[in-house]
Amino acid sequence: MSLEIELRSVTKRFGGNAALDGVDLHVPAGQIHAVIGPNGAGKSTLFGAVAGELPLDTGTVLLDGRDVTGASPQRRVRLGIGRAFQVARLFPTLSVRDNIVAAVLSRQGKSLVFWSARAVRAARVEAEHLLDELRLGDLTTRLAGSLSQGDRKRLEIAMVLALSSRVLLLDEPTAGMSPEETEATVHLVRQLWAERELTVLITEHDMDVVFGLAQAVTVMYRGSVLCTGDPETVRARPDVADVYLGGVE
Amino acid sequence: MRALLGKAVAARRALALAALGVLFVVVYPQLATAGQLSFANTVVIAVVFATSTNLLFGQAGIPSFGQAGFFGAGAYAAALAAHEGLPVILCLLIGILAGALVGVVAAAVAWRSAGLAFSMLTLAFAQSLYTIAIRTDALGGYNGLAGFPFSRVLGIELSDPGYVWYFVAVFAAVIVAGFWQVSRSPFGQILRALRDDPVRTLFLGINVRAYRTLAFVLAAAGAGAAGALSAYVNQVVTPDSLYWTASAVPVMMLVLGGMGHFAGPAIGALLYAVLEHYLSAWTTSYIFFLGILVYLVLALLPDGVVSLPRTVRYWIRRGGGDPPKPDEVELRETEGAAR
Amino acid sequence: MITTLLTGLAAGSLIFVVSSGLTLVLGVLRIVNFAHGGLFLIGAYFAYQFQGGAAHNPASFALLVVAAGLATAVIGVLVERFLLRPFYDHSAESMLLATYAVLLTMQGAVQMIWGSSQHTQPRPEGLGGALTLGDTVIPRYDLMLIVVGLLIFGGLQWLIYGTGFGRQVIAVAEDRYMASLLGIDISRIFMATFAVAIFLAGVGGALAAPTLSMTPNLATTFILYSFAVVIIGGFGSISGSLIASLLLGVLASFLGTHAPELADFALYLPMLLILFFRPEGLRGRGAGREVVIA
Ligand SMILES: Nc1ncnc2c1ncn2[C@@H]1O[C@H](COP(=O)(O)OP(=O)(O)O)[C@@H](O)[C@H]1O
Ligand SMILES: [Mg+2]
Repeated sequence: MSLEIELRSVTKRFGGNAALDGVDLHVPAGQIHAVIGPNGAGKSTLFGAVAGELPLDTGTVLLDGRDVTGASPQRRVRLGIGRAFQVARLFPTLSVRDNIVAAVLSRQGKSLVFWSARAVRAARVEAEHLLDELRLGDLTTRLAGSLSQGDRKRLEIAMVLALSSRVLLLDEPTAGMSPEETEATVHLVRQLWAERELTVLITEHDMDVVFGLAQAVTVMYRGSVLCTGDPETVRARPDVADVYLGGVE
Repeated sequence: MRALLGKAVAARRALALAALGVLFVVVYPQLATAGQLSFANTVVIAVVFATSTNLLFGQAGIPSFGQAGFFGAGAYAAALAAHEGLPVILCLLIGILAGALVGVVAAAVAWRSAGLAFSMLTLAFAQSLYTIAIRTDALGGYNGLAGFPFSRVLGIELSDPGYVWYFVAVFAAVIVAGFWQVSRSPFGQILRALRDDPVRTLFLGINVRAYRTLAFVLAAAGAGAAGALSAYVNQVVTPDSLYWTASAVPVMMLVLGGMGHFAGPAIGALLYAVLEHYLSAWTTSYIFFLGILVYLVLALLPDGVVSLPRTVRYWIRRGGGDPPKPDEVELRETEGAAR
Repeated sequence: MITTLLTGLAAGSLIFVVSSGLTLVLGVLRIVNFAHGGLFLIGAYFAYQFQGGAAHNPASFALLVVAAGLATAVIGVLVERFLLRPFYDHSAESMLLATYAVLLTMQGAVQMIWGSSQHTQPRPEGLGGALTLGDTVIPRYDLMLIVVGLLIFGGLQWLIYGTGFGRQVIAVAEDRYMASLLGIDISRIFMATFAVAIFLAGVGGALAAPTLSMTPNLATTFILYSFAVVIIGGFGSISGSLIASLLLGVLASFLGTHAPELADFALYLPMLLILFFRPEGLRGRGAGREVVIA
């Protein structure tokens, strides 16, 4: 079910400044892969490149070997890319359940139906099941805009799951969470990864989270990949520590 | 459990309201004078116009200021069809179709911009239709079209005021019910999501442009229906119905009523029609007072008069302060029910 | 030919005087201000009131125009401070509609004070006739309008690029949040910008008064021209609105002489072309980067 992601010498400039500068990245299907690096390193832009947020200056993006460089975000969603943003994007005036419903309807391809309400009722049932499964059932009727930071992040993950995505792009999923919430989220991600056979690409500042989850780690610095490897090797490298010590933070 | 009971009560209440509505529609011609009947027609047409406009403003978050263009397109098309002697129903359907088609063209033009520019463009688009109308002999120029009797249907003389009223009321009810259905449909659900965060919907795999265009076209069809009805009721179509200030009218209605509620625009339409009717009978400078009243409602009841009971209740309970947003109240109530 | 051109330029200058104010408010406050049309109307009727039907010499006419502009600006500032400011944190639709409600009220007020019948305003002495150069006839008033239009454009350029106030205005237009961090008093800039814009609306009204027959409906016609100018010239761009105004004026003038049946479409043809070839407007920056004060 999971997808392989590959980026080949991807460059993205904003004005004169290269947020991504010839980035190569390979994430095998089914891997939990963490991207770390100081603020401004280009992690979120990298996610944008995978999800199709902005046109790239150069380079190629492949999903399971298929070239999707020019594909719209929509098309990539259909291929299985699911994205959670660094600042969670939700529908604040809709209930938590209806946030999920939007994702379910989109996945079912029924969302252009404007003459009947039946699909909405079915989608609500499905949404409630999913929320219960993710232990968000208490929040079902809450407005998404009224949620805490942590719950917003979790709701966004739930929306992506409702799309039946095969790749999970998690941009700092535990930012703004309490230690308990962080732990619960780590647990959730690992559980989802195992149950749903996902490829997970995650950025994180919390090193415990990174080394607790990731099977491979890529370190970014100023738009370039510093190194990629398994967590232990990466942790042992002196230049990685330099980046963090001399980094922005 | 309480939620379930609440649902049953709400359903029964809706049924009772509907029954009352039907009763009203049936007996009204017997009680009303010709003038009152014609005013009631005006209100019903306004309800259709405002309700369709709210699909854009209240649900999709699309600030179109060109709805008069589609209203006028519907009115002119229905009038021309009636002139050809087509049956009433067909004339009205042609009006709807004309509104929708012009809506497709407008969407193609107006989506080249966004935000405030979009509002100005839709306004300019509708205004260009006004210019076309006053410059086209076949559309009667400045005088518009008149003298296009709608033919009878099933042997019933539909120009009898009572029958006109029944016909208008039923047709309008069907259209409004259609918009109710749209608001509950998957499409309506996605529109509200899109209004909240277009980027999120894009990354849920939604083709944002397609949804906005469909919403725009459906609203244009609704405006066309209202226009066609007005041609049928008034037996005259003037280019004034296309002038840009006419586009502001449905927007005022739905803001007066409250665009966060499905019934808001209808209530606003009634309120606006009553205000306009009585103010203009009283003074020729009625727009002075109309402007002040619209401003006051905007300033004091930003969620429209449908939020009045809630606001008053809040004031009484709390003795002042800003009233809560509708969602927060709803939220508190549903949470209470869950406990 | 030259006459048609000059008539067009004169009409364009007048449109520019009115639309530059709308553009300024759009660029800095990010409001589509329907009330601008109402204030233009008030400016025209103020001029009518001040003149009292008598024909004036050019000097007292100039004084009258400025007085009408200032009186209108006072009303404008009050409107901004008390009627529009409460809506700054509301949705764009409520803001838009609030300005529309103000427009209605102003039109109604003008109707109550001066009636709905047409009023005419004589041209000032010395600006009434026309200059004849060979076979070109140039109305003096048109020449005056062109000169005034250019003066106002120059004045605005100086105000925005040559003064400290202008730098603050640009900062607020670009990013009001950043501007406030830099210690700029946003609401003061808003009010001052609005005052300048409405002064121009009033001046435009006063200048327009002798060229047409006044009715309260003028407000809605002039709003249309201004909107077209903004769409063609680009959001918030003053030089764009100069170019667009002159373009519209000249086009209308030429269509008026050579293809009168098309004259009414003078607004829409350029708009349509712009939309398809340069949707951000002649001097605009495009969606999401709508603010240019230049
Ligand atoms: N939309 C944008 N416009 C301009 N610059 C951007 C944009 N997005 C990101 N950047 C710049 O690109 C660089 C990388 O940003 P980002 O990918 O967000 O880093 P990270 O997620 O690692 O903190 C930063 O210097 C940032 O300022
Ligand atoms: Mg980031």
